[in-house]
Amino acid sequence: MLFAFWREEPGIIPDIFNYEETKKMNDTEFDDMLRRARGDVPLPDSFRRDVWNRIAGEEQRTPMRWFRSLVDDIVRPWSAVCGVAAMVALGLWLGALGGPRSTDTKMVYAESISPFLQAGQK
Amino acid sequence: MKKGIFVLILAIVAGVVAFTLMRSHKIDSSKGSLLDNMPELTWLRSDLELTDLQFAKVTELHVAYRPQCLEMCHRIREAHERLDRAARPGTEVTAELKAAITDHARIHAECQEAMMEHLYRTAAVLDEGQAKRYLKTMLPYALDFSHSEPEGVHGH
Repeated sequence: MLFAFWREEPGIIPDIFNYEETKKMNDTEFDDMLRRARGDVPLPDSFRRDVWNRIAGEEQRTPMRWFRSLVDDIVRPWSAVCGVAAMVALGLWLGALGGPRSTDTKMVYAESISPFLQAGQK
Repeated sequence: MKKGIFVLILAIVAGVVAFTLMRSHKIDSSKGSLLDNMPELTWLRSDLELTDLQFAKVTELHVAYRPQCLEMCHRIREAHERLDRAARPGTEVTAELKAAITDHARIHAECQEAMMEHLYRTAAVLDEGQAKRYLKTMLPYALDFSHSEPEGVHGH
């Protein structure tokens, strides 16, 4: 992340590297170059803060962040147990709903013996 | 991440399985009262808790009444149509309209009488408590005071 940030925002770092050259490097070459350069380049005071701000900004923009957060939470043992139990309870509750209700069956019977109700329906 | 998705899928599958089991259990338990050819009698069987003997007698009465009920339904509908046809174009009560009104009222009364007869016959098969509940629930459908009650169409 840090390296990618550096490569994408060359203006932030003093221009001691050839920016065009660094763009052609693969990650390993770029890592090696940075290791070699360690300590030689004075970083601006706000560098660390800017990096973290940018990381935070990226996280805010990440699509399906709520889903990732949910998935991260649910791997905890108690969360997993509670989640499964809640889904089972929801399934049982929904399964118990929607069967033939007493008022419906009563109306069905009334319609079957009332010529007035039948005549009104047709 | 993968572990989390696995747990999530497991929870959803568990919920679906629970739903399916509960639904099939409910259907199985109601099968005893849901007759294949006469599901309309479910209310009698389940809510009035009829014995097998009572239910057999009630079913017999119901089967005998069904064609009669169907015929009455046709007569009522025809009487409605005749009355409607006679009333719509005119500006006064003609002889034809008068005859249609009388005919409609007669058919209505005959059907009401036949339906009440069926209700009383069915109630006679039940014990006192069942009969009371049966008549209390079903008589309003036969009496049909909707045209003269305060909440009826006239708004008195």
